[in-house]
Amino acid sequence: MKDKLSDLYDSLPVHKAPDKIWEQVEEELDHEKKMVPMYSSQPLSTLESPSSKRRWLAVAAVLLLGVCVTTFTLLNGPEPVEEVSLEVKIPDQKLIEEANATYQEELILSREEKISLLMSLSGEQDEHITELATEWKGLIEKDSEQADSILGKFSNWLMKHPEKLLPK
Amino acid sequence: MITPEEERLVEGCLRQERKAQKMLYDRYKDAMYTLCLRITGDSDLASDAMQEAFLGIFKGLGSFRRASTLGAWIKTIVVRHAYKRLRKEIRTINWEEAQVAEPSSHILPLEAEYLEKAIEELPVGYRTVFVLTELEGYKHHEVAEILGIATGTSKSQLYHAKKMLRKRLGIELRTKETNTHER
Repeated sequence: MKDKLSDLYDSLPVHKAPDKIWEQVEEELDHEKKMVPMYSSQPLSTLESPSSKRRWLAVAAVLLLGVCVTTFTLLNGPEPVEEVSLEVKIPDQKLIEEANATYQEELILSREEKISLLMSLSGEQDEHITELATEWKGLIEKDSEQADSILGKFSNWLMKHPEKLLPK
Repeated sequence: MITPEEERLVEGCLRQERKAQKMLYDRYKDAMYTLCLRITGDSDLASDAMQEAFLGIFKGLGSFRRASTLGAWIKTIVVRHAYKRLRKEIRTINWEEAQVAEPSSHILPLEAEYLEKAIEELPVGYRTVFVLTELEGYKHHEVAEILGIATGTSKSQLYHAKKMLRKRLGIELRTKETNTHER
């Protein structure tokens, strides 16, 4: 009996698969094939789920709003402040000459200042200056009429030696 | 383990070529459908299982390691899907207390056809184990792994399935003999 049973196994019929099975399989494969190109051009890490799409839309909306607000502010806001030039203007030669002249004028001392300065210079350690100052001092004291002429010479001398005006 | 022709088919399927997919399907469709039909005992369940199984096969071909024949790999997937479908339908299969159905009263002219009818009428547990071991050649430990049962359960289910089939086949044979003598 056992042999008879197993002998029948090979004679069991093979059933034909209905065509609708492949049609459904093919339909599913087509559906999946359509879905793949939507994502295949991007790396896996950037695959977009519906929720991530919503996030991107939200970010885009915020950025757009920012651009609108900035544009509105620029169009309707206060006048822009005039730009301050940082360029350094180099004085021309005329200005330099004027400045020098002013400096020379400042060297012109009053009569009393010249006498006072001459007195102080007479005690200089420099022998030449001391002799000169002592001589002029004596002339001024002797002949007051020649004093202005002597003081004029002293002014010319001071022009050549401006350092003598600096405080010690 | 895999013929050059099958290798080409597999490569084509991996490239999502529809022609290769269809050729692979056509090569196994009838045998696998028959297997699904015998496990589930229902043509609709068998069709659903086939559809799910082949979609799984096309998706999973990349993981086919060539450790077995392509046919064996496909068959295992088909069996799993058929059994999954069956379990969904029946919910729970009672492996211990299978109900013995009454033999069919009508007489079938061919023994093979009768055997198929008898297999179909076997309790689900008996039928599944019988189909996998006797008709598909799986070993008990393989059946146990596929169905998630103990190896001992698989053996006992097969014992009862064969006993029932022999009984029914004997009845049938005697019926046929009686009919012949009556004529």
